[in-house]
Amino acid sequence: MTSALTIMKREHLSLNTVLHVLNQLVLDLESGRLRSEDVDYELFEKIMSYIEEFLDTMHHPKEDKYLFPALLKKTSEANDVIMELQEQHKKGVEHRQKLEVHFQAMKDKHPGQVEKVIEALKDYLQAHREHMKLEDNIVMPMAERVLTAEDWAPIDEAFNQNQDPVFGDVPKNKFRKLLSDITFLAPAPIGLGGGRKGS
Amino acid sequence: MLKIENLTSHYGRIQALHGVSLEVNEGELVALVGGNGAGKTTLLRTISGLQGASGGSVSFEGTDITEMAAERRVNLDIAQVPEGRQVFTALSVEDNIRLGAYTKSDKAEIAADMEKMYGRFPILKEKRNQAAGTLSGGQQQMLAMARALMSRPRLLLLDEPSMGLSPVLVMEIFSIVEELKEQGVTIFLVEQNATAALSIADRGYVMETGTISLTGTGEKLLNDETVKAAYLGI
Repeated sequence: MTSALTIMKREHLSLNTVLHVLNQLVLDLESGRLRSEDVDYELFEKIMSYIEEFLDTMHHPKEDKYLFPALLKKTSEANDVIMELQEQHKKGVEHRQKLEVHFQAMKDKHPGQVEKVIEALKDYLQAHREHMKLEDNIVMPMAERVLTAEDWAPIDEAFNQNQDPVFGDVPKNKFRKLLSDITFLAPAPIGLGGGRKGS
Repeated sequence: MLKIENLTSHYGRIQALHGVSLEVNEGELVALVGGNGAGKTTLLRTISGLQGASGGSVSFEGTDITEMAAERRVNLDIAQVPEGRQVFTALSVEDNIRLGAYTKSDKAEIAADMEKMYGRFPILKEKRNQAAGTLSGGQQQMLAMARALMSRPRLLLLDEPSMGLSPVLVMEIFSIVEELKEQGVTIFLVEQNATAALSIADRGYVMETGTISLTGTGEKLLNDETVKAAYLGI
């Protein structure tokens, strides 16, 4: 059985990989290498679907149902950091809604929207990075320190039933397909350059 | 399926492999990780017959192939995706893929396999008439894999398939490697990207200066303190 911590680390790796593509697209938009009229909305939509569905169906439920309650039960040291993470989950929804509004406006060719999309994307990326940093640097080491083998057993079991998106067993085909599509559409050298501005 | 015992190999007077022993069982995905100059590529080249062995043995399905010529090993259904892709840059993508089937003679089977490759690697279909040298690194890696798969290998040797690629391409390559394993191809994966390789491997070996220093399941090695410190940057 793969440990819950290993699964969490793999999930962060998967998420970081897709965020890296998004970050590159932001840099291209900002520098003008990618013009707003050439934006591949299909690629952006797939990236957003991957991130959001991955978080909603794979990642956050496992943390919220199993890891966080176990930590809160074990130590009061976890209170502040878990409250902060849950606050970030709520803010994440706001970032996502803001991004969707500006994306739609850019798609509809409303003036001045490119800058707003860039700003919203940067906030979105930053929020995810801060969230993962908190989990990687504070929550996971704390869990390793305070949880016993007995505490880990049900967490490991739950995490194994809902594996990571690319290499795990559950809805892997869906996430594999999404990741494959993102890789295919993203411009080279980040991806394979099979999208509308293929290279 | 593949058994290597006390294998040694030299470049002139310099010894690159110092008695390597390892096994890859049928259906397994086995990773070999280690730093630059550890001897990983030499080991792969010795398995595929491109580099001579000076001692020890390489057996495939019980047959000693230590002295067998490289081209005859392809007929045993062993194929290698070399480090740095090594595609034929002046030839078209399609010709590169077709060359992978040079040991096959059934034209209909070759045509069907090419269509399968285009299905698995759609970017190659888009670029089929382009010279392979004009492809990006990621596209060339897909091409090198398609070329190797055209020989319908039962044992696939992969040498640093993630080298120089972006994180999403690395993940895609490893996802394809996992799919191949699920389809029954036995895989021996040599990688510097120890995290990615060990994450998908059934078992792994760590190689240092021409010898195997550690072995275990992928997860065991990922959580091994020595491996973490030396190869995972943790």
